[in-house]
Amino acid sequence: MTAELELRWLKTDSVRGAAKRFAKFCKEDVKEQSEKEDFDMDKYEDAVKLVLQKLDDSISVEELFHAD
Amino acid sequence: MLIKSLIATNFRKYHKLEVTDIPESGVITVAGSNESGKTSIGEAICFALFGRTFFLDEKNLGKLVSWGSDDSDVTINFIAGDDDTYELSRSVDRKGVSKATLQKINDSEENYKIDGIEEVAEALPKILGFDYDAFANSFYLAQRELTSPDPQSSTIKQMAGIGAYAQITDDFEKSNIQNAEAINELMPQVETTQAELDVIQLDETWLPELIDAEETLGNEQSDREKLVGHLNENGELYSNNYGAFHSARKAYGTFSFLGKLLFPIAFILWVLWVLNTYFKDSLMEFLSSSMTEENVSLYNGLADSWLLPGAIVALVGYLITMLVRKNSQATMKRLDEEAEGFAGALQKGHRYVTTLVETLLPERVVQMLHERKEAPSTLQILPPREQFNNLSQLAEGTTGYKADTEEITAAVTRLTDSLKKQDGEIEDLGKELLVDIATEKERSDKAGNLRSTLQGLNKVVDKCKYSIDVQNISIGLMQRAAKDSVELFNQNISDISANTLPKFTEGRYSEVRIAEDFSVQIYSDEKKDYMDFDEISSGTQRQVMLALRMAMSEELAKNSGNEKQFIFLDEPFAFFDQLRTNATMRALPDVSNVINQVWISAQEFPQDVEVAKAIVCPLDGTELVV
Repeated sequence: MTAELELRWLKTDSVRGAAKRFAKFCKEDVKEQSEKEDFDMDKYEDAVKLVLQKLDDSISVEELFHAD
Repeated sequence: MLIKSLIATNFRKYHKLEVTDIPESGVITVAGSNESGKTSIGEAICFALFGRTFFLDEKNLGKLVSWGSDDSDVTINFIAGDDDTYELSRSVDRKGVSKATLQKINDSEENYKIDGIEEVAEALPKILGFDYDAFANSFYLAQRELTSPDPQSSTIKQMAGIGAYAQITDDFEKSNIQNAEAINELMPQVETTQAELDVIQLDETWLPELIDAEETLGNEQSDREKLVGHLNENGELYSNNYGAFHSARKAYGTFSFLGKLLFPIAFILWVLWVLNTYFKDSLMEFLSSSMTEENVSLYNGLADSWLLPGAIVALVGYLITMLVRKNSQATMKRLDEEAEGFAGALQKGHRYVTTLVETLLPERVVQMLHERKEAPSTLQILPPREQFNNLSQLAEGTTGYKADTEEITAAVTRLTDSLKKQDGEIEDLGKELLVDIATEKERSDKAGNLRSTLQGLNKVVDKCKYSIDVQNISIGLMQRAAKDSVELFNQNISDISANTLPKFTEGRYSEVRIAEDFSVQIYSDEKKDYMDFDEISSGTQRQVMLALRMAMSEELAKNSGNEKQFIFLDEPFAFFDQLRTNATMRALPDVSNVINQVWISAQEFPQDVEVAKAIVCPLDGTELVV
């Protein structure tokens, strides 16, 4: 399976702002990184998810208003 | 983010300020002479959004309240995010104590409201996508700020879409240090536990071997017990059956002989009776020719009286002998079968007493028992072989009850004695193995607990290591993404400025080149070459910087998830001549697809420029409703 296919779960439409740009970057970056010998797809995916989780605050806005 | 309305009471010079029906796109002019309240409108927007102004921080907010009033209220209505409308209200009293309420006004339920200064402060950047600093450096541009921005400022990073990277990287680095410390704390425990486990040197195949050996001994013991019972029972039975078998065999022989005798007699008598009855004339004629008349007469008398009864008696006698013979045969067969079972038991007993118990056990168990046993046991020593030399022959002799009963009784006694002795020793060995099993189970449980502890520790260590790896990859990823974003940001700024600049300068300058340190070079169509920023006039510098700043604001809007954004330009034309002001005013409505709502404050505006909404601040008076 190619690195590109591995990131199929990463939907750039479902995030906004900096997270959207980061997601788009990862789609391109993974092609280059996957050619390196020590590349680990699982760790790379987890790293992408981790950063996206920190960047994407679109969901928490709704949560803010439902906190009560 | 677009402003829909702004309503304030007792704010600065205004006892009543109402700016409503604000168009979502176009230029909104805020005109008025000095001290007419133009800047107060900008301040009201800033206070409503962030609870402070450009001039007053959170500690001095009491100064915002109008003279003669106790408190001030400001409410701003805006669109942000996915076209959601919000209403944000703030109030402050003379002592500077403020309150804030944020509500999503398309959600009518009460619990869709956030109350409190801190709560609103936490929610607002998530809704707007930018904080006060970014706002003050991007969407509120005062004339004095039209300079090249600091490339290291957080605002520039937010504009380029990498503002969060620094904080996230910092978080990951701290987390990596914590994980490394956790690993360092856990490793001694891992090593100690591993050492304890190594000391035990548990061989996981040993306990199953011991259990198997103990079960084997148990089965052997049980089999021997059953065999002893079987031998005693069948030995006695053999003696009892011995006479019965031989009597049956004798009867069988006798009645077999009688049967062989009676059958021909019966047959001959029957043949003679047939001849005498159906062929009498011929028979008489034959007898008369060879016998005297007296003898023929005698024969005739005897034959008529005795031939038939004699034949019947001989036949009945034959049938009886066959019946008795068959019965004797069945008795012999039954007794022989019993003898065969007994023979099998004797053979089995012979096998037991001539086989070493150690051959039944795993090699390592035997070795362990050898090392432990001081005296030779049933493991290694068999009963004297000569005791059982004739046992196989005796066993064979039981079939057909050829073996002597006394010999059998003696052999059974010797065999059962030896088996009982073996049985006792096997029981002792089994007990020893049970002790070994208990000890080994204890060791196994201890090793299991240590292994479980070790597994848990290693799991945590592996998790920490994995977390470090992933966070390091994340940091590298963010570094590459940041570099890419900065390159893209600079390119976008250049592209946007290249579109804006000719409109602002009426075509005299069309291209901007921005370096990583945000040093700017301008391409002059007149000189056909790039010029350093310092080489151009002060007025042009400000036009260029306005174009550049608006391009940066557009980038910040896009990177903060705002497809539409307002900007407030506070007296941007102070250093512009009439021509530049006119050119810029005409260009502003169309310079960006993102910066749609452009607020501009100035003392006056050109008459021929089209505006979406005009706000004129009164020099005298404290009320502005527009």
